[in-house]
Amino acid sequence: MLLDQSQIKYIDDYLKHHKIDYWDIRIELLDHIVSKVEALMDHGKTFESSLEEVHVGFGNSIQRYWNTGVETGVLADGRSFYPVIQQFKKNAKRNFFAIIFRSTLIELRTIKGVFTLIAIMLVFYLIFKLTHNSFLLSTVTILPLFIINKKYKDFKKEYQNTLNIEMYYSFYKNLYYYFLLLFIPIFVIGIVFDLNGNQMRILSLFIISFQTFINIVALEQFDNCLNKFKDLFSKYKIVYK
Amino acid sequence: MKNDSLYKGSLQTIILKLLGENEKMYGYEITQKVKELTKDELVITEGALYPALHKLEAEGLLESEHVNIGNRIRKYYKLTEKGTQETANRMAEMQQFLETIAQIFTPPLKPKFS
Repeated sequence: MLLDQSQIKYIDDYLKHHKIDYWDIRIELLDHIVSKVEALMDHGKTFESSLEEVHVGFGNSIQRYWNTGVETGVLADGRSFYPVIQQFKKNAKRNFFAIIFRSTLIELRTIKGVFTLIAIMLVFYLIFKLTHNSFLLSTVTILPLFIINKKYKDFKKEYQNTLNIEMYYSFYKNLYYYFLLLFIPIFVIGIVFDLNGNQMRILSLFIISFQTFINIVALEQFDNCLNKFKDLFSKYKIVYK
Repeated sequence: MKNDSLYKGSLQTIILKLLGENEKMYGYEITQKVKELTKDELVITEGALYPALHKLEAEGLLESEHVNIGNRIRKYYKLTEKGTQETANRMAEMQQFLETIAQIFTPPLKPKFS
C-alpha cells in the first residue's frame, strides 16, 4: 500500500515537530519511516497505528508527562531522535575532514597542486619583502574564513538549513581557529622572521603557506558540497512542494 | 536471549557484504534483507544502521545517490572501488575470526576406546 501525499506530508511535519529541521536528514528518515509504515499497512494496520509502531520502534514514547497533564500520541515525545541527529552531526564532520584530507593529498600529488603551494609561498614572501608588514600577512590568511562565512550565509538564506553544510562549516571554522591559535605565535618577530625582521624564516614561510593551501583546498571542497546540495534541493522542492 | 554486543562489531561488514551482492540499496531495504536472511534473528535498528552507513560513506567506502521515486526522495548507497576492495578484506577477516572462534567452541573429535 502506497501512502498518499497528505500522509507523507503528515510524517514530514511529524519529523519537523520533533525538531528535525534539517531537510537533508529528513529526506532519509522520511523515506525510512514511510517504507516501514507502508509495510505495516500491507499487513492490515491503519496509518495511525503503523506510525505509532514506527515511532515507538525508534525508542520514543507515545505518552509524555507535563506538570499540566499527560500528552499522548506520536507528537508527544521524540527524544529518541536527538541521539540519532547527534550521530549524524558527528559523521558529517568526520566526512568533511576525510574529504579535505583526501583532496589535500591528491592535490599535492599533482603538478598544479605543487605549483599552487610554491605560488602561495612566493606571494607571501613578496608581500613581506615589499611591505615588511607581518600583520598584512596574517590578514591574508584570514581571508578564506570570510569567504566561506559569506558562502554559508548565502546558501542558508536561499536553500534553508542542512545538517551536512552546517557541520562542514562548523568543522572548517574550528579547523581554521585551530590553525590560527597554532600560528599566531609564529608571527612574533624572532620566530617568523630573524631578529632584525629582515628575512623570513623558510620553515615559517612554508608552514604559513601550507596552512593557506589547506584552506584553499577546503574552500574548493566546500564549494563542491554546496553545489551538490543545491542540486539535491531542486529535487527536494519538486517532490515536497 | 540474544546478546546484541556479539553482533555490534559485525554491522559494517554485514552492510558491505550486502552492498557487494546488490548494485545499490537503501537503508530500510538493508534492514529488511538482514531480517530475512537471519529469519528475524537479527533486527538492525535505525539508531545503529544510519550511523554505520554514514561512517562508511565518510571513509570513502560507500557513495550515495538521491533518486526521486515519485512521492518522495530515496537515498541509495553503493560500494565505491575502494569499498569493493575493502569488502574483500573484511570478509577475509570475518572468515578468519569465525574459524578462530570455532576452534574454541567446537570441541575436536576424539576417538573413544572402550
